[in-house]
Amino acid sequence: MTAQPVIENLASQFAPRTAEPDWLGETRRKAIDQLQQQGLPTPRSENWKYTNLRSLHRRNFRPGLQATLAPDQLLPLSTDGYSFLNGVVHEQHPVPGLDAQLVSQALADNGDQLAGQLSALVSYKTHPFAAMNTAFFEDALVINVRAGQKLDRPLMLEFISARAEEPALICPRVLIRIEKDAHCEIIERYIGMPDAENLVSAVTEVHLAQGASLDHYRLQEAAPKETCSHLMVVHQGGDSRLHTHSIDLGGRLVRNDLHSWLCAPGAHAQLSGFYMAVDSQHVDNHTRIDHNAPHTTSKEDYRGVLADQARAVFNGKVLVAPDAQKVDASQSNKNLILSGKAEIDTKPELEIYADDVRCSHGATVGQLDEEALFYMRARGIGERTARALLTFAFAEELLADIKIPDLREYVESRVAHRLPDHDRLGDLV
Amino acid sequence: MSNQEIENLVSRQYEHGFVTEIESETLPPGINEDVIRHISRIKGEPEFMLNWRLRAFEHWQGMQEPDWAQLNIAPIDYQAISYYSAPKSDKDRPKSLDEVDPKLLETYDKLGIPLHERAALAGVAVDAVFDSVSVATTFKKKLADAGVIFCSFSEAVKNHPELVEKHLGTVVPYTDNFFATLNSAVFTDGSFVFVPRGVRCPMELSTYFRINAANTGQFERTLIVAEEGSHVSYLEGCTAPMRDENQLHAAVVELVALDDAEIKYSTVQNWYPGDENGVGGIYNFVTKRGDCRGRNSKISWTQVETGSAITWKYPSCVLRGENSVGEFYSVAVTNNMQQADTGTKMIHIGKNTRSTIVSKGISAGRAQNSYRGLVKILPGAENARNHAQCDSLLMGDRCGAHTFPYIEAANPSATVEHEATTSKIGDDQLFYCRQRGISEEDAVNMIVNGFCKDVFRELPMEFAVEAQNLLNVSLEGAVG
Repeated sequence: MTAQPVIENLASQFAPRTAEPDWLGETRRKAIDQLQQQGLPTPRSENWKYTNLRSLHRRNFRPGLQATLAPDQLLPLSTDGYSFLNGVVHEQHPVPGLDAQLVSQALADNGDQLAGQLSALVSYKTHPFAAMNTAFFEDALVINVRAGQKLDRPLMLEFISARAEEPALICPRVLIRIEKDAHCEIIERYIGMPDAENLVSAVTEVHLAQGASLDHYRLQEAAPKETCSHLMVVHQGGDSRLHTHSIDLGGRLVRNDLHSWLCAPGAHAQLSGFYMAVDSQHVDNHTRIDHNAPHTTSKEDYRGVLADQARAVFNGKVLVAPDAQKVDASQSNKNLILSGKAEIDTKPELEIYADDVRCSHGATVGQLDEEALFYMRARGIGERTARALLTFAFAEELLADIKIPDLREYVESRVAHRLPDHDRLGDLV
Repeated sequence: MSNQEIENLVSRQYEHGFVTEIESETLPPGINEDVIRHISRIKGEPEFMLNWRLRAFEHWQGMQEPDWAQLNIAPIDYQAISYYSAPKSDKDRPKSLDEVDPKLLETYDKLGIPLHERAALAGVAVDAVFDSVSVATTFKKKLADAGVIFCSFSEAVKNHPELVEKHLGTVVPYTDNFFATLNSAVFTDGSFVFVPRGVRCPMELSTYFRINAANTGQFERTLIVAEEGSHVSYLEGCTAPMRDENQLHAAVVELVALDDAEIKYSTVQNWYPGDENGVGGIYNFVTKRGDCRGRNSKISWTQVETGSAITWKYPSCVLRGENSVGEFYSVAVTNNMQQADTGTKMIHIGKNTRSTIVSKGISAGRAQNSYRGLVKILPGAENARNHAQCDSLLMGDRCGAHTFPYIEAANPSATVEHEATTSKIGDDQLFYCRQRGISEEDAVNMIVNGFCKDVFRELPMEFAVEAQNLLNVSLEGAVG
């Protein structure tokens, strides 16, 4: 491995934390060793074929470097939940009745149980950003939705990244356990202050027990110069239901990995994603669904809009294990390219080892429907507006699935705002 | 079906499994510079060919075998393979069919190759490749009248060195990939086709390949050049005798289509797939690429792959010329322990280029069947259009079907569509047929043939019939 200063710099800043139990210290140590050994992957590695991390090699990120927010930058929480500033808890508005703790508290209360669950799903061995996160995460949040509990309001987790005196490495981490027949909605919102140049490496682990269900929203609005990685792994029990919404609007270099394990009959996963990239943004979404048990189903729909010199990558893998019969899986990735310099690389994969299954996938790259454009222009809508409207409609097909009205409106306005003639869109939609 | 019938079907041996006992002039196993010089000398090649081979060999020594395919391959010892084998009667080459070794003719007979009068009836010119040296070429005169050059590669090197030198390696350079580079160093023969400007080739050209001598890797090289406004259809088909040791086959096919030219390349591949436990069988690593160099040119690949233990093959089109068209129609059948990783690459460079991909994979027994394809739209490919349809049919709960399509689009006016489905033969479909008195075996054959119809339709008539039968034989006993 050629030396990568960024990794050497991180390794030299690694320090054992005496307050933590030995097993966690051991895990962190192994993670940093692993990272040092493997370094950042190159495009020669199939998983990173289209996403080159070379621009990070010579950087220096300071783990957990703190910042202060000017009063006018404060983002007051609009709903129940937690906010974190550069990886450290900032505001807490606990949801009544919900068992949620910072990891330090959870370790003190129930450390042995955590030992088996923290890092159980996400391996620092396979993913460089997981290793980074494992080695350096600060205030992880541990959420436990008790059996049968149904939260009637969404839980908001805000991860704010602000400029510090040097670029920081920020490692948000969430462990979600949803017990039998419980249900909740969780929003993870990643916001970068406009001048931030941090590396945000987030990890979310989810355990869904028998009959549990989760609506998970990830809204990423990192700053224009930020690098942002999100890794989420979900373990699903029988008859559990997962619906994820991934919305990527910000960041310079963005990489998301979303992996669901369907481990018992009746489990269902639905993955929805929308990405909009402009300027020289690079957005990479890797998803993987493992059908490890018979009678499991999945549905995936990712859409992207690319303008300017932006580049997007989609890699969706569906794997059906031997003997996982009666699986039904469908996957779709649609892309709209608006500029001659934008590029999309998409790769929907199927790996199937059982025969009585129904699996399909589709991927398209295309432009706006000329006939629809003509129709609108014939009715006096200017070309720019018509194009913006059709682009918005393309996105809206996915955004309409967002079940939290405030969130949906917010995302819609953010998407509309990035389109030309957005002030006129309001009159038309 | 009764158990006895199933037993009979399952235990059926490979039909074309026989070995013709002809003394072969074979080099000892191993590869080094001397071997390459020796091959080149035997073939009486000019200087440029030898140098090209040596450059390839030098490059190959620094290369590593690719391992990205969804294939499980036992290590190959490249020093244990003999790189040249020619029928003994090579020195005094036959002037006509009467002079051809009768045993050879018998072999072709068993394979059902229309070589002499049958060739005339079928209207097919056959440049039959027996192991590595061409022994008979028919219809040369008729083709010569039209100005078409259709001969073995060695003859082309002797008689038309300027054409070979001009085009060899322009589509698949000797540095291309591990197997193509190996082929460039040691290839022994193959076919050469040159269709001059404005000529429509008067007949379907056809070559039958056949691997014979034990432990001899088969390294074929085919080069087809279609000049402006010409048209040619080329058929390639093969069977191989039964053998317990894995045989390596690394062929290279290069197609060049200039302005308004059209090349149609069809393959039926039925090499020995190994027995039901995966013992033996051919390792088939093929590099096939067509270059639509001219405006309005068209290259169409059609393949029916039923044989070989390992298939590693991606017939591709480089759509360079404006308005050029690339097509890929494929049926890949794997049964027992066979593994196939096959697909295509469509590289759109020119404006208004179009490509179509139809891939049908059928997997039975414990076989693994993968489609791997790339559709790449370069920034200059205005209005490029691609449609890909990749379907897999699973027969049996121990087999696998995989799809790895890569799409790289960098032009806003391009339209790229990819669709893939995986399923098994529906119980309702079978029930419908059975209810109407069609036996299960026939019903399965019918459904499978229907599944593959889009591809068979693209095959030349003679091949379409052969392909259907081949499919039925390959899948016998897979469902029952």
